Formats: sequence, structure tokens, C-alpha cells
Amino acid sequence: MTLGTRRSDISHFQCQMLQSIIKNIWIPMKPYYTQVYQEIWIGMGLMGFIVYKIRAADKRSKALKASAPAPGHH
Amino acid sequence: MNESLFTPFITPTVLGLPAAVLVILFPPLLIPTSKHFINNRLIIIQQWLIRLILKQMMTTHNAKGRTWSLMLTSLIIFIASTNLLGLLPYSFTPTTQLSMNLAMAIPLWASTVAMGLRFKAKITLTHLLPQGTPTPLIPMLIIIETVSLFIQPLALAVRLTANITAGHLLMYLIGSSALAMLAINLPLTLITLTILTLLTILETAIALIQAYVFTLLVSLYLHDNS
Repeated sequence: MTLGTRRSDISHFQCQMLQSIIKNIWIPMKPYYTQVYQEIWIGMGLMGFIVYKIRAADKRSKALKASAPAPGHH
Repeated sequence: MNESLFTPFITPTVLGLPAAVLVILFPPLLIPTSKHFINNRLIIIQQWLIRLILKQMMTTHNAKGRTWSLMLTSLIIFIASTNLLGLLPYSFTPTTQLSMNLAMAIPLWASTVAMGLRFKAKITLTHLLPQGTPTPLIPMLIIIETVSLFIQPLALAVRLTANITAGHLLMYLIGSSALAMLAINLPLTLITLTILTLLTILETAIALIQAYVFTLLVSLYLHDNS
């Protein structure tokens, strides 16, 4: 196989990417993510819950419409 | 040529794959970062602008509120750059989508309320009743204030969506009418094109103002709760 496409190469690049992410993003932003933005994570959880509820309701209504097609209205 | 009035607002796809995330991640690429102490003019202008925004926005906050400086500065720069890029023809503006604006407004508002309830619970709850309220009106006013509290994220999101969407629609309609009238009545077309030019200038101002208003309101909610 050519260099850069072997499984060990791919996982090596993924490790490098993970290291780069940790060094450039996680380490400078750690005090923000762990202390300052605690309430924002709560807000994001609330938003995720709302998104889940809307998606579930949409799926339910679509399933209902598909299972019981309405007769033609006059 | 766009087929219908809704085409500018359809979430972009590339060969069937959603490209919305790429469109949202694009504006930061236009803002260069620098590791040097002394930079070129472009980066100096950018840093001056960010310092101006920071000073303007964060002077009224206490130490706790100032920990949000990064968040609020990023927010205003993101919304402003996204709105301004959306004024280009045939571009997609993520802030025309209510889902996107709700996704920005709800976490930020909820976090200010959570912060208020966590650190100053009694003061946050007393905000639900304005000072000097006559006693018979107290229950009704508490209900009204609670409703107005829960409407805040909706208002934030819908304000931004409606302003940007309406502006884009207006520009599209006036541009289409100018094009349609070109073969029929030239003086009227010139008047319509003048209106379109003025509207474009107005839309540029609205793009910046809406970003400022969104961030200012979030900053206000933070100030009330920190």
C-alpha cells in the first residue's frame, strides 16, 4: 500500500490531530469550558432537549399521517 | 437565476450532502490570527476593532460578567460577518434560519438565568416583581414578568431572523421588479435601481446593527444576572 493510506498511517494522523486539538484548543480554553461556561452547557442541554422534543413530535406526526392517510376533502 | 422567492433561504446542499456547517464555519477563515507581537495593517485594524467592541461592551460588567468577554465578542463578530457576507448575491445567510438563531439565543439566555439562580437566587426572583407595584396587582404582574422572561430568547431569535430575512426578500423583490421593468419603462427602472442601492446601504447597516442588538441584549441579561 502507498504511504499515508495504511491503517497505521491513518491512526497516526488521527493521533496527531487529537494532539493538535488538545494543545491548541483544549489547553487554552480549559478554564472557560470547565468553569466559566458551566451554565452555557446547561443551556445547551436545554436546547438539545427542545430539539429532541421537536424532532420526536415531527416524526410522530409524519408516522401518523403515513399510517392513516386522510380521505380526500371536498 | 433563482426560481422562486424561497430559493435564497434553502439550506445549501452540495450533491445532496448538507453544506450548512461549512457555510457557518466559513466567516472565521476571513479573520486572520497572528502569533507576532507587531502585525501588519490588516491585523492591526482587526485587533483595534475587537478592542473597541470589547471596551464598549464590557465596561459596565463586574468581574464575573467579564469572564464572558470572549463569548460576547465572538458572538458579535460571528453574527456581523455572517450577515454582511449574506448581502453578497447568491450567498446563503445562516442567520435567516430561525433554527440557527434559536440555537444561539436559547443557550445564552438559559445560561444567564441559570447563573442568576445559582449565585443570586433571591435577587433573580425579586426581578419578577417591579418596585412600587400596588398590592392587588402583584399576582398578575408576577405572571406577566415570568412570561416576559420566557419570551426573551424567542424575541432574540425572531428579531434577528425577521430583520435579515425581510431585508433579503425586499432586495430580491425590488431587484426582480427593476429587471422586469427594464424593457418596459427605463426611467422607472432607474428610480427602482436607486431605491435598491439605498436599500442595500440600509441592509448593510441593519446587518451590523442586528449583530450589535443581539449581543447587547445578551450582555444586558448577563448584567442583570451576574
